[in-house]
Amino acid sequence: MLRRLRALLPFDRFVVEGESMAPSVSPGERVVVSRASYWFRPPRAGDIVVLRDPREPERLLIKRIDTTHGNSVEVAGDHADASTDSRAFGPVPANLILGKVWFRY
Amino acid sequence: MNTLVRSSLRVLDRLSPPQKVSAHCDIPCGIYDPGMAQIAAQTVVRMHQLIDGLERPGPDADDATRNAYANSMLRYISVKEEHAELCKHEVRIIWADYFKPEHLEDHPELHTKVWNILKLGSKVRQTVDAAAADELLAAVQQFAEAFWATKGVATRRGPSNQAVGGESVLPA
Repeated sequence: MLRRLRALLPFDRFVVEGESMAPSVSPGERVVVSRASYWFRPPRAGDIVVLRDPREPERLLIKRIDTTHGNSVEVAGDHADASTDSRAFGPVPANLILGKVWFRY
Repeated sequence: MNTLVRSSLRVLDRLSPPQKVSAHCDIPCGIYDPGMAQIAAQTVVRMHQLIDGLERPGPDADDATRNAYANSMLRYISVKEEHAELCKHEVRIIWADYFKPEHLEDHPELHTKVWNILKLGSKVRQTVDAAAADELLAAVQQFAEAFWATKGVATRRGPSNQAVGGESVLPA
C-alpha cells in the first residue's frame, strides 16, 4: 500500500548497495531520485539515474547514462572495473528509467 | 543539502525505509588476479620435474621400494591433474568475468590465447610432457601481462624464488 503510494510521488528515496558508482555514490549512501525530471525533457548523457535491470526487472540499478539513442540509453558505472552495465546487457529502453538522482542525503 | 531536509528525510526513512538500489556488479568484489593461475601452472611444471627426477626401482627392488616409487609417482600425477584444472578454472574466470569487449581492442588475440591455455591445460593432464607444461606456464604469464595491461598496471618478470625455478610475472 505504502509502496504504491510512493510510486505516485514525484520523488523517492533509495539506499545504494555495491561499488559500481564509487566514488560519485558510495555503498550505504542515500539518494533522492526525482521522477519529475524526465516529464519535460528526455534523459541526457551524464545523468545518474535509477533504472530497472533489463535482465531482472525487480532489481533496481543506479548507473550513469553514457549515451542516448532515441528511446534507449546505454548506462555505465563510474567504477568500470566493478560494474555490470550496458557493456554486459546492452542498451536499455528509456521507459525502464525510474528517475534522475537529485541529491544525496 | 540543508540539515532540516536531511533530518526530515532520515525521519521519513525510519518510518518507511528507502528502497534498495544496486550499483550492481555480477561479482561485487571486482577482485581478479592471474597470480593463482600462474602458481597452478608453476606447480604443473614442478610436478614434471619431480616425475622426471624420481628414481625408478630396479628389477631387484624390494616391495617397500616399489611401493614408495608408486606412491610418489601417483602423488605427483594427482597434483599435476589438480593444478592443471585449477589453472584452467582461474583463467576461465578472468576471461569470462573480468575481460570486457573494450579490452579486445588492445588485445585482439585474447580469445585465441585463452583457448590455447585451456588446450594446454588438458594436454598436460593427458600426457607427461615437460615441454607442454613449460608452454602452459609461458602462455599463462602472457595472459597475466595482458590482464595487468588492461588495468594500466606495469608488470615485471623476476625470479620465481620457488623450487620450480624460472620466472614469475608480477605487477610492478
